Amino acid sequence: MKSLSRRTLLRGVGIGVSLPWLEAMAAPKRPRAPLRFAVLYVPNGVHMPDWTPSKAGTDFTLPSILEPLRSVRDEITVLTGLEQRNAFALGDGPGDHARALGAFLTGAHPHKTNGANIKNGISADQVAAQKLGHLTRLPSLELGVDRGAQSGNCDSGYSCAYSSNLAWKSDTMPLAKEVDPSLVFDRLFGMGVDPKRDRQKRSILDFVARDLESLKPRLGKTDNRKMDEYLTAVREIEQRIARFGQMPPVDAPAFGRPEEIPSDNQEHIRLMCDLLVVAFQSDITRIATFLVANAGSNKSYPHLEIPEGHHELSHHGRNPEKLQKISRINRFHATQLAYLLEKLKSIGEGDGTLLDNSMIVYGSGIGDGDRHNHDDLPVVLAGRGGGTVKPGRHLRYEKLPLNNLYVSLLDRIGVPVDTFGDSTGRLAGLV
Amino acid sequence: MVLAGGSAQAADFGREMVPLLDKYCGSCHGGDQKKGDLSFEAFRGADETALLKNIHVWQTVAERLEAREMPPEEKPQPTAAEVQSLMAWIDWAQSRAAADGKRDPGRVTIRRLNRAEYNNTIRDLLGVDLKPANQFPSDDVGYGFDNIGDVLSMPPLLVERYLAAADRIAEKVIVADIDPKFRGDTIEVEKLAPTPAGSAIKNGKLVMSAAGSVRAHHEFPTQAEYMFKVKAAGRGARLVLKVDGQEKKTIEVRGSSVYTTKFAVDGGRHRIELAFANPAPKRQVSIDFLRIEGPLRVKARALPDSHTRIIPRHPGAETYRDDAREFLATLATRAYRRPVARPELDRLVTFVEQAVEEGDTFERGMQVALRAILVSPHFVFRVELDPGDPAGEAHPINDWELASRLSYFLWSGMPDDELFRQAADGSLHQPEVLGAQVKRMLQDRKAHALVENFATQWLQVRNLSSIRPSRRRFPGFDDNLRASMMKETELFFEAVMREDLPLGTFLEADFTYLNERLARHYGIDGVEGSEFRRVSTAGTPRGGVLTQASVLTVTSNPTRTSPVKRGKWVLEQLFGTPPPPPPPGVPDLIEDTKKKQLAGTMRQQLEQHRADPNCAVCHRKMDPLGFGLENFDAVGGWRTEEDESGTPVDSSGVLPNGQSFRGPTELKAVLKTKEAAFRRSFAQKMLTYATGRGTEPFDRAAIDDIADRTLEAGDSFSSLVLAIVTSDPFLKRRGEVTP
Repeated sequence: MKSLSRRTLLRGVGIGVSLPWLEAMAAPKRPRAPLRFAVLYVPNGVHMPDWTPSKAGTDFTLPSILEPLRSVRDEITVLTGLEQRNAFALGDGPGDHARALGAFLTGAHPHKTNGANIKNGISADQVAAQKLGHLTRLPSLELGVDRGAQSGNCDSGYSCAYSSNLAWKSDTMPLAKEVDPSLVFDRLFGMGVDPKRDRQKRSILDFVARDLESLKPRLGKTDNRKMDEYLTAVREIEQRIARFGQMPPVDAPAFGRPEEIPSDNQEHIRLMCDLLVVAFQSDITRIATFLVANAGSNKSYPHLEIPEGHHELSHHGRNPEKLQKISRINRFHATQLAYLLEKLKSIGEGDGTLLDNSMIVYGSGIGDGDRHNHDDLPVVLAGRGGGTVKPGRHLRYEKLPLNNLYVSLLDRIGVPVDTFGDSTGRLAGLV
Repeated sequence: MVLAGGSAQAADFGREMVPLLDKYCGSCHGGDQKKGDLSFEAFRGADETALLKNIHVWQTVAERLEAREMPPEEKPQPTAAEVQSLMAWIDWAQSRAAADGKRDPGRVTIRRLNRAEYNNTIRDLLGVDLKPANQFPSDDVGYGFDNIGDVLSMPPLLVERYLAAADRIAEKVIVADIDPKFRGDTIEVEKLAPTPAGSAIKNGKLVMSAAGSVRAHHEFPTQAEYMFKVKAAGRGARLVLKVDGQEKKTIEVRGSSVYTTKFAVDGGRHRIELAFANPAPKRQVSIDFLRIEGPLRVKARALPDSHTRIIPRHPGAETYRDDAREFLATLATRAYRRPVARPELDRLVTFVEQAVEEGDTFERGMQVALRAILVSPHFVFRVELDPGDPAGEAHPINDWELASRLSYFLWSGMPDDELFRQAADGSLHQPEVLGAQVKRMLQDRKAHALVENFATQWLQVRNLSSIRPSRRRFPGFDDNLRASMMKETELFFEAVMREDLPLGTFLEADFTYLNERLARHYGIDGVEGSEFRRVSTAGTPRGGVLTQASVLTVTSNPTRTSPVKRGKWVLEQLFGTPPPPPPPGVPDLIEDTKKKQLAGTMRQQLEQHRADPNCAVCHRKMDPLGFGLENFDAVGGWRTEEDESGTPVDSSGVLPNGQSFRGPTELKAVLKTKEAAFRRSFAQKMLTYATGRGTEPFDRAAIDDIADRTLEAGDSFSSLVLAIVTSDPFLKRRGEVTP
């Protein structure tokens, strides 16, 4: 009952949050609303026949998996024929789930290891966060639903670092995600400015930085990687404290602090979406990733009357009953995407909506869960990128790197790069 | 290939290795080229001693070659024969180095405390069981465990949490203001934000008619009791007063009055919230103000132990710097788990000076110093340093580092006073001292950490919490049964540890721990009540980890058993010989079933699947082991018929070596004959956990030693732990690579 009433409250997202750039609306030179960039990942591939629209262009019908997106059909671009070549084995043998997630947002080939020498590539969101992070309270936000694996090998000799993280701050450092909505809430709204405490905090951080600097020459190379990670984080927090003083205050949204992790999967996902929306809306961050379930997740979906595990089912062997169940799980996830997009669309910003000013990538690093292929990936781009994307279309590509899409999105968000990972150029036709 | 004597092989290095290294590696790792800090130039003409001293370099070469990572794809590749000749030389060098006693003890990457270790360390250091790490992001797993130095990274989110945790801990353990000034703050409704839906401010009063809450942030000067006064009016309305989201008191509003309540709050800024908890048609509540008074006086007597442990006496006004130095020396030595150098202490004392100079209390200054300690890398990481030149040499770790290795291995926490004492007098590394400590530590209550953190990961039963067996198929499965399954495994492991039983007990035992719920699940009579007790399993198919419901459930799918998963679990977790995953392009069972129209029971389908030689290689090893457990359903209940078809369960199997069995009891008897392999695998896993790094090929000799010594010493649990603790990988470490 408690959770029900909280849900009801949460539906009120959008009330009582101050929008810094909106206040300037009446001014003669209206600042353009910033662009937001989010990436959502679902594991185990999708049932492609129920995903891929049969027609390209504007005149396409949403197949059954994407059908829940009908209310935002004109806000999405379905992209087919994109691939992540580096998720293929390339001589490394099995481990496609870990590799698919590792490569999805990096375009890199994750180094096969159970622990030593973890190496992947920086992810596209973090390329943006490096350049834009200083403009907002948090450089980026990493959300998830599943905690990291609790024990065991995560996927055929790959450390769980690859199968439970979507964002990579550097090629050696995955960014841990937050799965507890109450802690996300605290992170978003618990950051007040308090000169005395901030001064103490700064002197503590300074103390830590000096400890780190003095330790470094006495440690080995891999140890120093950890010290550098720590130092980077310390510097980032120092800068953030300094920045806070100059930023307009953010009011906590009208809904309360969530009190626990919902036991219901859908409610959990939606709560994270709510938090993502307010973080974008109040410009706490402009960049986010959301791992809807860990790579290779074997979660069952009892509320869909699917008692089998997702991963187990994804090896469907063309069994029609299994394919149908896979398709329903995919549809369930798309329904949550629709929830997020509708919410973004319901929030006005300038003379458009928050969704207009967003670029939301949704997809999986595996095409067909049974074949473990990493070409022809299921990818949807939602939002208009501030008028730089023309949605409401299905665009077909012929085996182009997914990273080309990221390069194009980085252009739009104002962090142009010549190449990124295995990109071969920019993705044509988005506008 | 003929292996000649040592010097001949060293000569071979010049004749055979150098040309190959030049040809395939030289452009990046030769001459002035030092990609990845490695050049083979230094080894040109090197003698045997120099070559063997750098055995780790050759091991790395072997690993890269084997993984086909080097030379890089785009570079010319050595022929198979050339690879073989390189590998043969490295093999020789390895065995030679081992025989010389130049065994590589390995070098663990600096380990940060994982969540369990952080919680326990705070508990042991400060005497408060706050479990702050429960709010940290989860630790990633590598090599099957979550305490691997290489895998434990330091994302900014974690550092944020460190700062927040340190803040909270310091407020909790130290009372910042012993004789605080009492004050009262009234928060008018206008300051209570936000205005929830369905409410309005009328005449300075907030009227709420729907569910919602108002809140304000308030600075509490110190940890103490505070008085909360709420002026409210309403009829039968319930207002819940929360601090940081936690319910503290419920106020029943009957009429218009000032409602008063009192409770303790930690120092610092907190969110105070008033929630209207029981809205109903025609019911509303109006709030006039919220007033917070306090702190109510803290009596010196009432100071918490955590406070007096850090600040044992009130400092003198003139001597406070020396007092701070004295107190912080004790605190930091324990927190850093080693003696603290003078300059380090100076820097900590500065925090107290600063606070006092700014007009804060001494205790406030100590709080800041404690916060700094708790986010220092010396606390957060387990720092092990090389003792200076010559780098690259294996060396024993010092006794302070050893004390931490012991305590984090067996307790997942910091060393206690006794370990510190023995580290201080330099006796800890002596074999007889180590032996006595291991015995003592395994009997300590804190050794339960080995159950919680090692056993549950080794057996993979940690995953039990996320397993969702089909409700339709297994209507009896609930959280109570789930928890009981876990408890059985924990108690069983703990018994082997505390009673120092033979390692073979894990494979086969005539006892287990049950409560009524689990006994009923197992079909064992005479166990009543919810508490667990030791029960004989003689004459039943149960006994040993393999027949425990926890293990049987985590190796099943939600709707059915998986002989393959169970067989794989036996090979991997018990014997350390995981089958390679299916090669790419090989159809899995289900696909195969469809394609070839395999039919019949799971067993029959698997048998047909194995007709494919591609599949047979591994499935011949895995499947029979799983078949032997087919009498246990997907939640570990006993069955004699298949779930769906009702055909009788066939639990017979034949291993590739011809050994055959029928049912779990005979299967376990067969596994018992492989006890040596089990011992070795168990040793390898525990060594991984103990050292916080994956074992490498060069650890082979050390693991063999550990297994041999365990057997010689009676094969008991403690003899294994002692063999690990006295092994080279545990007592020593390699310096940084500098060929």
